Amino acid sequence: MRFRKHLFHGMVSGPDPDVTGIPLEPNISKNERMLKSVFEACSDVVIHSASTPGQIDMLAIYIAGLPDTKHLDELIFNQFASRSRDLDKPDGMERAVQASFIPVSMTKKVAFLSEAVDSILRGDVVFLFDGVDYGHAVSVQGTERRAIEEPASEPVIRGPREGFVECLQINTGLLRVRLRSASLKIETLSIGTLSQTEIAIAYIKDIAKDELLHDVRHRLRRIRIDGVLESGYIEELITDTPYSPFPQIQNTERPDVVIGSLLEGKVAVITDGSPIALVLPMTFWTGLQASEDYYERSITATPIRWLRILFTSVSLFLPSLYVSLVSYDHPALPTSLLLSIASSQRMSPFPAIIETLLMEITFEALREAGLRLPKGVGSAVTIVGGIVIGQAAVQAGFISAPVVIVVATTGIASFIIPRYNFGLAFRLLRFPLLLLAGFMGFFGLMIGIIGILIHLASLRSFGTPYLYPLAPLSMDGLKDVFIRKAWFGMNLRPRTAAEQNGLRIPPGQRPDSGDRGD
Amino acid sequence: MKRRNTAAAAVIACLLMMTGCWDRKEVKDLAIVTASGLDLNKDGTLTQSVQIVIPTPMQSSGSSSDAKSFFVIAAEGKTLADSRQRLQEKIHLKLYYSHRRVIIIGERMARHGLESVFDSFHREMDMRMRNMVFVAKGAAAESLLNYPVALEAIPADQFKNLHKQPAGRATTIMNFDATAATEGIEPTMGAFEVIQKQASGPSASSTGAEPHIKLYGVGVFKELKLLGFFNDEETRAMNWATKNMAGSFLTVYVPQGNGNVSVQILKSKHGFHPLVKGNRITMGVSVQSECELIENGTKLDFSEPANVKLLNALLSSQLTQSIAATVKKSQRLYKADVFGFGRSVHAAYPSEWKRLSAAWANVYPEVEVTVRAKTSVIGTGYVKLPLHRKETKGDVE
Repeated sequence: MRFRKHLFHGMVSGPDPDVTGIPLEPNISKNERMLKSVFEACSDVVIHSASTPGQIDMLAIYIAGLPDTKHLDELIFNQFASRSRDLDKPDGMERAVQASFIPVSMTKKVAFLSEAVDSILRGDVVFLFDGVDYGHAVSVQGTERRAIEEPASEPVIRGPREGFVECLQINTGLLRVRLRSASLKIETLSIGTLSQTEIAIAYIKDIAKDELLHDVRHRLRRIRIDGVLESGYIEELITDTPYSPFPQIQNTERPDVVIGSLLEGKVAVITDGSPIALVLPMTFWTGLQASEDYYERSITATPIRWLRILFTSVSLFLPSLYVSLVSYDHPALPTSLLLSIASSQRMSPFPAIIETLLMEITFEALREAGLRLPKGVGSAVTIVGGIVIGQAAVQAGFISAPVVIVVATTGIASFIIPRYNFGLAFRLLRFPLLLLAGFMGFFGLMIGIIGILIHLASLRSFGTPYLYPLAPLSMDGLKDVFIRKAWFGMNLRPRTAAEQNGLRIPPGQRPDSGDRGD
Repeated sequence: MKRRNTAAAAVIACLLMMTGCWDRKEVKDLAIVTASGLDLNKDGTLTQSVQIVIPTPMQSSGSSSDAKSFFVIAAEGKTLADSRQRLQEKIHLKLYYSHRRVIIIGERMARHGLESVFDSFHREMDMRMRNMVFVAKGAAAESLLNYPVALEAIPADQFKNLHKQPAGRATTIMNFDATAATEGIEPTMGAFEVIQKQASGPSASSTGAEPHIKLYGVGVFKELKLLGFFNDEETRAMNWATKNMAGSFLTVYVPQGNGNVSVQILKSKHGFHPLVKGNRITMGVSVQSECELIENGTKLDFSEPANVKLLNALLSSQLTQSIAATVKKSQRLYKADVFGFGRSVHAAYPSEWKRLSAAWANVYPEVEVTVRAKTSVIGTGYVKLPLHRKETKGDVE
């Protein structure tokens, strides 16, 4: 046991040569040697040596492909060369550097070898001059980035079309554009001994609760991992109950969703390299809310919410309900329905539970196949699958027609859940419920439902009960659960937000309330 | 701790699984009974017959409507349970009674008394108290179940739907039971008869010659024994006094116009007004209805208030007469208080009722009943005379 612990420790500290605490030397060739030894066998690290017009040796170190080379050439070398004629003077270079580099968005002094290495790895260009014991890291990042596109996983009819991209700076920029206030705080830290992934915690000061912030910071700092490739790593490392099928951290590709959540006192965690931001705490009901609910008029958004709740339960219960009705609880069926089920079941060789399980699994497999395959092949899978499932199986008498109807309805119902990972929970839970219904009918179904409810009621997401505001009940919070109150009625923030800033929209703004002053 | 939790979960999962599917019953293993018939045989045994629906494919493959959508099997037995067991011996699928909706009782059994039958109804586990119960007039219940019906997915539904009409009375076992157990009212049960249609006339096709089921009023019961029947006219009169008749029609001959007039009832109200003075009990039956002219076979112009007044008088007197006749029949012939006069006396004179209740069966025929029916035609339509007459006559006035 002890040995394994030790092994773990060795792994997370990472195999990088330890360069902390080594200062840069005034001697440029020494610095060059040190850097070369750090970047040994890194063929993508460019160490470009040149000399200034004043005959001082200089080095430009960067990683090929990360800085915008065109930018580098034009802005830096040209300007630098033209402005540094009097570099023989002791402070001449300092001034020259400042004059030439400051327009280039970001420069930073680096005094230590580790700092220089970090900057280089981050994509900066580090300039070192002979006779100076520090360098200048210039950010001219210009890697090819994906353009800002409409998020594929959360499309809307009405609402902003911008989605997050893989670059953290662009993402935080997208947030700041929507919230031009100094209260929007974005703290960064880097996680991953090897990947050094930058993670940003975004929140609104005095709206997000301090305890929540402490909790988030604490949990993030605790992470020891070699690399973070996606925010999913972070999610699983900080979530409250990782083995629950229900996600306790919302994820989104939409900056407007993030801002909406921040205004409710939530905290967002954005990971560099991933377009998916984490929003926490999450409740059960946020899993059923789409961003469009808040953009459409409340009178039409509310019934759509009901539809979603209805079909979410359909996606969870319909197959098991069917099985218990057909195998155990026939009295609960209308006679004519019983007769038509009986007539179509007569030919099928399997009991209802086997039929339904087979079809559900096949459907899930088809869905997964269609998702993972290249787009061209994916459609072929759907066509073949549709014919196999829909028609051939029924016509051959392997499967009775009502099962196909049930499975298809369930499938469509599960697509109505706006958050994909939330829908996954229902996809998964369908199967244990199906088995319970197959073994014990309605009785088993009830056992399953009660079990799920107990689990949901016991879940917490960063201190917020998962079923809040329904359990524990908060009447004011219900304005955004089963209904979406019109904006002039959303006066108070949810109680998950800090109390001193509870008022969100001052009351009395209803447009037809008569105090318009005319 | 963790290991123990896992073990506990595994044990619970096993327990759930091990129950297996011991009482699983697939739909395809069921013979769905939608109606039963009960008949008393001459030797005292009874015959139970069940109508079993053949599940038809959901899409109607071709027009194979000739094929019966059900079949009937019957078995004798000493008791209902006994006959049930013998029925099950005749079919390989489990007879499934939970979806039964109609029970038909043969006339002989009904006259013999229904105590034992109802006792069984109360005890049977898959008995639904909302089952309709009917009596077969002059026929065996089994024969009623055998008649085919078109346009009905579940053949047994025809019985219920036929008796939903103004001249019928759809009674559930529950209602029949409750009425039979209530003081001051006797239960009735919807009745059917079989018409042996003569194949005559131009449309003497095969279907026309077949016997078919027809609604025949109600059977009048007393102490769970059938006493006799009210035909459909009498049943309608009874319903006038006890039910809301909105939607039904009334037709009256108008001698002044030398033709018939029909009205549709829009609203109807009914009430009993008992008056107890010592041993003299009078009962006022009031029926008020509002109706609308829907068919005018006379030459009268009903935009004239005088004509409407005439029509009102004719309708009221016809209604009064028919209700009074039916009341009289129940008093003289059956001595059975099917209207529930006793119940209204009980409600109005609770203290008097204590004295009257025991002998109500004897008192009832002596009750003086006055029927007051009042109809008012409130709509005569905008067409004063039939349209085609207008053209030939020119000016209507």
